[in-house]
Amino acid sequence: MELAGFEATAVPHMDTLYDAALRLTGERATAQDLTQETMLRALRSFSTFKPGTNCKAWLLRIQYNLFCTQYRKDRRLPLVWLDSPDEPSVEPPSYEPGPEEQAVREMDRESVRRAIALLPEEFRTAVMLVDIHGLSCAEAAEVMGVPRGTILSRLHRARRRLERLLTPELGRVQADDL
Amino acid sequence: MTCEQFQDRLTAFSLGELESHEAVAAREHVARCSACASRALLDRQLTALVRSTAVTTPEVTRARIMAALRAEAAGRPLRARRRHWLSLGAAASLAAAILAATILLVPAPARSSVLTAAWTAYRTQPLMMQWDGSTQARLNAVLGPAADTPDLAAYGFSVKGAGGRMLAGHVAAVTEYRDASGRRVTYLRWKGELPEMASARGPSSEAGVAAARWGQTGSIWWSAHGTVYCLIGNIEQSALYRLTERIQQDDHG
Repeated sequence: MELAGFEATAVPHMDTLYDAALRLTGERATAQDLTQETMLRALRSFSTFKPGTNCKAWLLRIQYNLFCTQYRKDRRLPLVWLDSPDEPSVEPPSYEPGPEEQAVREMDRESVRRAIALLPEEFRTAVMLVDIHGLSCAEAAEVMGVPRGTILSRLHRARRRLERLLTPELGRVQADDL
Repeated sequence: MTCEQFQDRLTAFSLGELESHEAVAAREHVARCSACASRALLDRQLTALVRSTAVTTPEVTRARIMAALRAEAAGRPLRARRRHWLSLGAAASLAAAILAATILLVPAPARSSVLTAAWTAYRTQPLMMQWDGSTQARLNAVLGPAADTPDLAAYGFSVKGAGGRMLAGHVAAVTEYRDASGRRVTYLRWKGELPEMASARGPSSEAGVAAARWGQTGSIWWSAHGTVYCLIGNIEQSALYRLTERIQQDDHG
């Protein structure tokens, strides 16, 4: 099997798959398994990927199917997580943080993560696909197997809910973040 | 387009997913309605905030997945990994989740309470304010004696910074200490109730306080008279306990 093409096209999306897996499963160990299994399946069926189409959406579709068929459990709410020290956040801190400052910043970010994690699964998945990983509503609709209008209405309701939960945090978003 | 129609389409508008004739009407509406323009801005801020929570793959996970891919490509698939449902990592994230939950469960001050003015003021402040007379006065108004800065010099820690900030939606007084070797301790306090979870968090709990640790960073939590106290630092847990005792003596003496 040819790895080079896959490495150039699909592997760069590993962070997206891991983040998505963490939000779907709520557990690091399970998220790691789901990410690995998604990558392996994608490698095996890489010949069916159409070059020029959105590879990230293709991978997320494989992962979401796998999650629905093998990983989804009817159990407790997903856990939320803190970044461990060896796992830098995507957003770099604006100054050199000490461990406490990092912890304090992380607590704030944590309240946002938790608010997202507490959304119902279908809302959370729509937010994850579109707002966090930048899929179009049509692509997200294909991943989740629902009409595009359903994605839009889930996003709309999720955002209004997050808005109510996160009003204090919103006051701190800087113009450069937009 | 009316305000109501615009707000119904706000998400689609922000995402650029409106049909072209609707997009034109929405842009025209925003151009002349400042209320809807600021809602649109808030929506973009929300999206930025949500996006900032994305995480990257831990190096060890990435290495493991790459190894599995190479083995698969070489036609020698690795044996499926046994799934450890509560691995060390999961246990650590559980502890972290509980820690996070303790913060979120502390109720925000009621809108009508005396804290409202201070709370609103803090929302517009930068991450860490400089300590000055007005900061002290506001923190005193909110926290009373808990806003005081304990003297930890006898333990080798001197004050390096102090101020107030919003912490997960609460007005918190923050004091930062450092010792000669650069180790740091931050002392936080804010109004609210310490939830039960914080005092039932495992073997390291001692009377009246609860401890949590992740990586190099330890923390101790307690509450008194409606104020939550937290010490966080990259020092040994036993040293954190000593500092806690010292601060509690101050409070009661």
